[in-house]
Amino acid sequence: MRRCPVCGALYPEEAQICTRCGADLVAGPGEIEGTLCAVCGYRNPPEAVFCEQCGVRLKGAEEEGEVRREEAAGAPPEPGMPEWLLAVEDLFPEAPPAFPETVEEERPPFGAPPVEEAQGPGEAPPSGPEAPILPFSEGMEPEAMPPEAETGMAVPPGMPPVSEAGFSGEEAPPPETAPFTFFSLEEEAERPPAIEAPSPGGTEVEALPPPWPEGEELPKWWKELGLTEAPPPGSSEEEVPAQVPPLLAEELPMEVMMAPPATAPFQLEEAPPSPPPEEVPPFTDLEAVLAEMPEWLQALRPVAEEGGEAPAEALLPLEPVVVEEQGPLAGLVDVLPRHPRLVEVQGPPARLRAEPIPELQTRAEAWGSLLAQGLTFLIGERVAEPASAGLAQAVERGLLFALILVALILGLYWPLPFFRPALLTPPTAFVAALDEAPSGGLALVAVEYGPDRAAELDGFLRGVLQRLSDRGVRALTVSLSPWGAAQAASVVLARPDYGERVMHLGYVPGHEVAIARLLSQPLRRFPADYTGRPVLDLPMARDLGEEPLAARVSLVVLITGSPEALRGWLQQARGILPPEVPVIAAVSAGVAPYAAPYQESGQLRAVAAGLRDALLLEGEVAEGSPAFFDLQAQALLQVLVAALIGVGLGISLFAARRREG
Amino acid sequence: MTIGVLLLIAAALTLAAVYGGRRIRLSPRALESFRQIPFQVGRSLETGQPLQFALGSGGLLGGEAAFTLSAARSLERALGDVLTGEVPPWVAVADPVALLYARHLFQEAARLPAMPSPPLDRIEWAGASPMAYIAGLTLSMGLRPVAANILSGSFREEAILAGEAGQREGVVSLFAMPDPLGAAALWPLDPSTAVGEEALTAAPREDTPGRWLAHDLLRWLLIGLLIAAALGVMGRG
Amino acid sequence: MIRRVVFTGVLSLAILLALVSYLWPQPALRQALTELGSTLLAYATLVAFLAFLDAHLRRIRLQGEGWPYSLVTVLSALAVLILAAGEGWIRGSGLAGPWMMWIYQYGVLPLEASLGALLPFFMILALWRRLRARPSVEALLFTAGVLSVLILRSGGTPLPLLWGPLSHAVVDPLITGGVRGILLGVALGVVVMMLRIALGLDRPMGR
Repeated sequence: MRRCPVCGALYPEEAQICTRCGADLVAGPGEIEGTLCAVCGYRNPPEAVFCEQCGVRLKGAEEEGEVRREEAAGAPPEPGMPEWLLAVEDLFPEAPPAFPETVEEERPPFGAPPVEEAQGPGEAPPSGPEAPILPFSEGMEPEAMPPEAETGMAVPPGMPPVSEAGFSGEEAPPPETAPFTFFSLEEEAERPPAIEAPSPGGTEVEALPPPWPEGEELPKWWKELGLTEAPPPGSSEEEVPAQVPPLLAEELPMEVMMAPPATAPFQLEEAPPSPPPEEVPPFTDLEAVLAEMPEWLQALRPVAEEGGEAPAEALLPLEPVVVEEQGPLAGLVDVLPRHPRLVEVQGPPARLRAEPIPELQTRAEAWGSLLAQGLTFLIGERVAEPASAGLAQAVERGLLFALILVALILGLYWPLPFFRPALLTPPTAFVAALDEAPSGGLALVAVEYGPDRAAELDGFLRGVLQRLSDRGVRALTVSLSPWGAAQAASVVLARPDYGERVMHLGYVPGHEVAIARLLSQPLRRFPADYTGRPVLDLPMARDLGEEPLAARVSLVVLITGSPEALRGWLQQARGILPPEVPVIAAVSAGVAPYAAPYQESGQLRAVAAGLRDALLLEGEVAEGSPAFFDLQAQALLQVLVAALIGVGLGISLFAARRREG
Repeated sequence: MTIGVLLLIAAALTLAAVYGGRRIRLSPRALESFRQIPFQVGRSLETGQPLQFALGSGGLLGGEAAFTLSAARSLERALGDVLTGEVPPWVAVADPVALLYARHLFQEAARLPAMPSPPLDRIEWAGASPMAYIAGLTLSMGLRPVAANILSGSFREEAILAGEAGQREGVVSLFAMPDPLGAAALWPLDPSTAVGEEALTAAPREDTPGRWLAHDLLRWLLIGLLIAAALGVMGRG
Repeated sequence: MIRRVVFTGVLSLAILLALVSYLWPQPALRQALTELGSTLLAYATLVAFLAFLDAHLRRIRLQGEGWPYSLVTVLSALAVLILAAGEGWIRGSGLAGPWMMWIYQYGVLPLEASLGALLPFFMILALWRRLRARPSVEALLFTAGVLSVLILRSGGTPLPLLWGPLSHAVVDPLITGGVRGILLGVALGVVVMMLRIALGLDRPMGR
């Protein structure tokens, strides 16, 4: 198995690309630039100080992360599922078989270090592989080890001294609450410790769930469970379930269930657990375990619900323990990385046989409400930081908008000396193509814009229709979108010569395919125009009934503000129309670059772009006419933006120099 | 006819690339805007604030089908994670067929065991025309807090309204749009906008390296054809 | 499993049918597919409208956030629907009747046009902010491009005369080439995506 160096997801060996983040799996971590976060494995940009994903400080935690990763990389393949976990699985219905395309995954046991390094509880840090895992019934020691013991890492200096306050050992909690007590403490161990943990005796939980002090009196509940050996330094929560009955394993909170990042609900590559190695005696004696379970504990075992669904995947191992050095989480071991993955609930739905006591209920509800608020109150940052709403920003925005407004108003009402409409050139090629249409012929006008571009393109529509009508060319307007049809209707239906020279067919459904359909059919196939009148009743359509439109059309005019519509029409129409029929386009200014390639290849005979060409369709612009002021306003705005760009650049350069100087 | 032949060649190349590409080592570059999506998913899960996916004003029946489909892929990628975390995203569509498709994606994602039932009321039809759609999107952003706004698909420059509203609400906006017109307007807001071909590379859940190889092979084929046409080797049409 | 195979099969079949006309022109086939698409669109529109009504009515009923907006939305949608239906029924003119045209001309058009009129403000604001941020190569190039386009298109002012031929020789080919490149890329992406779906290499419907 290999891990993605950027996001940490697990993949089989032959995977090359991480499907989550797109990083290259084959290149080793050393070849990719950037700092690897030790907590969550995210690959940060090189200059990052804090991890972008989980927020931990990158320097300092990095070295330990490297050490640990090397250890894990160099570790021999893990043996697979621990026995107690198999015991847990025995209690629940069979998981469905894995998908055929899964890959054998070598699962590390909880706590990541290999089994060989397991040591007995309370022993000195190991020097090498220790005794094999013993069966559960014999007071089995967990395979997982506390961080400082397993990898030989130095205990972080900031770690508070070992104390038993983490486990309410001194006060013997009432037996009924013992498992829950212990349980909730573990929960606190993962959460940032800023919250006072609801510990049973009211003791404060240290920031660090400490390793079990050697030689300390074993807690009563521990003895009650029939385990004689001292519990190991229980820094990782997953070790605890190793010693408590399987009951608790299924009640582990979600974060305990949090799988390594590779575990995706959909990830089909996850393999079923591989069988344990030979030197570990197989676990057979579940009954012995259950016999040791006290009555009260047995009574609390959840009852599997009938008809519940089996889990899709078995429990998955957790991340190696990590130690925080800085910030509010300093000294915490085993703070689970904030990962975007949550594994689905394990096990079938189950309900408790008995109700938890009210004290625990309250505690649980308190936790629930805290968690519902999200982590923001802990870390002290808002997730959504609005753009700084300071006065300076508001004034800046207000000033800018005021400047633009003033320019517009100025341009619309006062003739300015530097604006000379004589410098404007009308779209001659476009007008020429319009004029080439034979009198009595049919021009197809496609109206593909909506209200948002109406101000710019309505002028084209009016001008084109007027020019065609003046020369006796019939115009048929059509649209592929409903708002285009409505927009055209507002112009076309208002014309006095509607029906004689102009007809609006309206909306033809089908997007590009409708173009082919329109052009390849005779007009009589369309039952009515946009107003509901039968097409053939209109005077202009009298002799258009029989032949396909493509044979009768002598000019196609596209009026559009969207490149897709332009492309669609061109591609479809050019495929059907004979090559001598010109297609011309009147587009909004932003679409002009899209039209340029078609113009150069000859598919578009002529292009008119923008408000300027629309207003110049009729010819020269007279001084003081509405068109004059429209054009002047546009020109003034363009000059203003150019000036703003200059000023803005100047400010940024000046500020940069001041910053350096 | 030429197009048909070209399509056949393209199909053959794609097949060859996908099946042969499994043995070839490929290292595509990670696009910043798509790289951000898992990060935003994580933020959403941690804080309980949903994401908002805007699939664009195109539909699945027209020329913009590919853009909407590619936008739906980013949604599909994130759905498995966020639904598991019980923070269902909001999805805003402009086309009714896209609404049906989004519903289908929700239902597919919810087929996991122990997944809550798909919250289909999170998919809203925000408006039919592009401008109305952006207006609806901006209104939604003002009404409820979202962790991030992911705009992908067929947008034009009106997407800047959504981006600006997002900035004011403090919402991170990620853009991926094939149309350079929209992207150019958005560049001041988000320089890591995925443009053009990049916007169509949202990877589905299971993906093969051969996909990028297919892109590259077709690109080289196109370049070869262009050079040949420029040199006058190929006739017109 | 069967379901997935059927889905993929139908999808591939539809795509291949649509593409086969490039090799073997079949207008009837294209038309049939278009009719199918139109029917699907009509059905989908109905579903979408009902979902839209349902979502907003629920929000009104539960007094969720923004319920006044929902109320206005539902009322105006129903009003337009009833008016259009009534007009079509009474006058027989459907969407083109005077009532609908009035709503379009005095309702939809001003609203959308106003929204569109906001665009230049926000675009200029975004550009202004970006310029004042840390200067970078891309910002500089972007600025140069915007400046040259603005100066070229600032019709009626002396500016193009000073700039004109150089820009036409240098800037226009750059713009056209750039747009072409992007369009080629988009076409590539679309073709690959379509082929992957058609050949069943992709699984767009999830697993």
